[in-house]
Amino acid sequence: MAKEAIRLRAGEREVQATRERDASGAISVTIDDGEPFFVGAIGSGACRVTQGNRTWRAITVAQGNRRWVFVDGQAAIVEVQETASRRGNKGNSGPQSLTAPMPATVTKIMASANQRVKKGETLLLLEAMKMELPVRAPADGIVKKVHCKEGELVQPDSLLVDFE
Amino acid sequence: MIRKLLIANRGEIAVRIVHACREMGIESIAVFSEADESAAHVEAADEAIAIGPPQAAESYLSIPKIIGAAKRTGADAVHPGYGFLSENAEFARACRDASLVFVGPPADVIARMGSKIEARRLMQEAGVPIVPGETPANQTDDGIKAAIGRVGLPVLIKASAGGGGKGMRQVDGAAEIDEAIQSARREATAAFGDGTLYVERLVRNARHVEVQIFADEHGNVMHLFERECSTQRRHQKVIEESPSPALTLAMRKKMTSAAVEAVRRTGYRNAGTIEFLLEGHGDTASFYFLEMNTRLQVEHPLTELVTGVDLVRAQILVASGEPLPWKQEDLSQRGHAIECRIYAEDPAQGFLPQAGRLLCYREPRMPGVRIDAGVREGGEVSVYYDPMLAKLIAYGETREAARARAIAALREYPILGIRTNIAFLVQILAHERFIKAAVDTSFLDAEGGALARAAAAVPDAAMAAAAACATAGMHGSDAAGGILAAGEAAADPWSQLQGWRG
Repeated sequence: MAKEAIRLRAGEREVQATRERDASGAISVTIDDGEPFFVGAIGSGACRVTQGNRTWRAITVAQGNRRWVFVDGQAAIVEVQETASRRGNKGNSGPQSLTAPMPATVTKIMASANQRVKKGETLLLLEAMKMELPVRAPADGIVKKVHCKEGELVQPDSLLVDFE
Repeated sequence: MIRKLLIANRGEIAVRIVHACREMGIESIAVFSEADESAAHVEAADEAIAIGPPQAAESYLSIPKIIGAAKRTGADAVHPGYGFLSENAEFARACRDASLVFVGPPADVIARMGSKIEARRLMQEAGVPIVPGETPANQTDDGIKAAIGRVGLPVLIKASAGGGGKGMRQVDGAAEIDEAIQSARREATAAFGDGTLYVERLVRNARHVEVQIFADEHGNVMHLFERECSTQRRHQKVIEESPSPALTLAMRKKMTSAAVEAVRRTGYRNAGTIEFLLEGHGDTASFYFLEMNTRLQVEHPLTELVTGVDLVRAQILVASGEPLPWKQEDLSQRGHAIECRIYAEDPAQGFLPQAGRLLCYREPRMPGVRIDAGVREGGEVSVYYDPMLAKLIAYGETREAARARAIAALREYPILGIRTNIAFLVQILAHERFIKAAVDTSFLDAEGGALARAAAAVPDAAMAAAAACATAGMHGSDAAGGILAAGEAAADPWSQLQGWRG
């Protein structure tokens, strides 16, 4: 499973969140290694957050690099400090591995080994949950190796592209 | 009969008046400053007319501009709402001189009640108790000092032309007297152009209870019971309710009778409010006249909910020369209502007013909850005007039912993009003293800081939701990692999805 560490700040409070997506695509989040919250989208900016037998409805909206969150009468501005996958893609320098975020089918591969690409350029397309999902270059750089084939079903966290 | 009414106001109250007009088949005209071109009240009205720059002094407070707008649009009446020009006698007179019906009392009554000193004198004559105090003829520092000496510390120094806490100073000790007199006079002169001061004994642990009154030109004077507004911060009302949990039946009768008697003597017309301080408990409590507001109050929906009448419609009827649509004996209080004022302010930063775009604004919809709002999603809250965005009024068969409803509704009232006091309101409503109806006007001064801190806490569930939605960076799986709040704009990576299939 892909685990991602996300550092969040809201006012004076800074927390370490860990986000994980299971095989069914459900997202769980722990805050400072506490009991996990399960988060599911319920449309129009809303999601349902469950922890144990407690449930909240959260309304969120992005504003630049901040996110406003309304839960239970309380509105918070949460800033994402940094995001780094545990698969060693920290920062923009050095080799990085792009991995599949969820169970998906590789529908198209645009990138090839040793190709020079610009940041944001689409390397390949995945399809999952009836959505087409482009995997883009995280920075200007060179594609070192493509680890998947068109039509292949990839599992969460499986290696798609090495990137430098 | 009034056919076309110009609303000399903005925000929620302008929208409220538009609704009354629509029910009555009266055309409504909104006025707007450059800051309000696409405001909610402009959209709500049948017609809208620009009246100048954002600064209120050059638009909503400009008598020539408002009268000019009324003439140009062919209005035959003007409703001033509350605030702005609503208690400006000169404005009421200008309307009359321009053959416009002013929805409010006659100009001379506004002028008389606008002078707090004159209002005190009138009330005293009508036999209404006033807070013990003095209005020194000698307005020098020494004259006011002597008055303070006779009234006895602690006192409140107040401005005759005052209102909203301006020109008001509390003096607890002799050492503070000089500074208090001078600063009260400076503030009063700056705010009202009149530095006349008077001195009142400070009534501690008092409650603010006010009586809604109404009079027509056919000799009918009646009251519509009381509202209690003790939950206030620096003389700004935050939560109000009706009936007052502090009034006994006997006290209610005494207070409403005093209010009606006072109004009868002033030659009053239309809706008004007599504010009292209530000191003590039960049938032995005392009440003192505080001031009279010669206009519709912000908290009028409380009265509408517990008595079942429409005050704005009645205002328009009475202004048209018709008799009041009810009799005193028809009026009664039923159930309980609590009003919460939703302010664009940050309780965590000393209640600093906030401005910005409302990225998300969704009103709760549930039984027994009324929202009077002057904003909408996507709208801009500007720095130019009062930070009140909306009022949430919860009604229930008991005080506890209304309180629970108010909390439930506030918890379902997402306003994002600017900070508001919603969490602070929930904290107040959930406070033991509020639950026990043991709130006096000093409550928020004592507890407000702690409640504001509690309101600023960020729950882990909010952090979890933010983490789930986060799409920061485009590193590997993060690009697709977040779940998206739907309806978000192109800035969000999920909007780069190639669209839904199937």
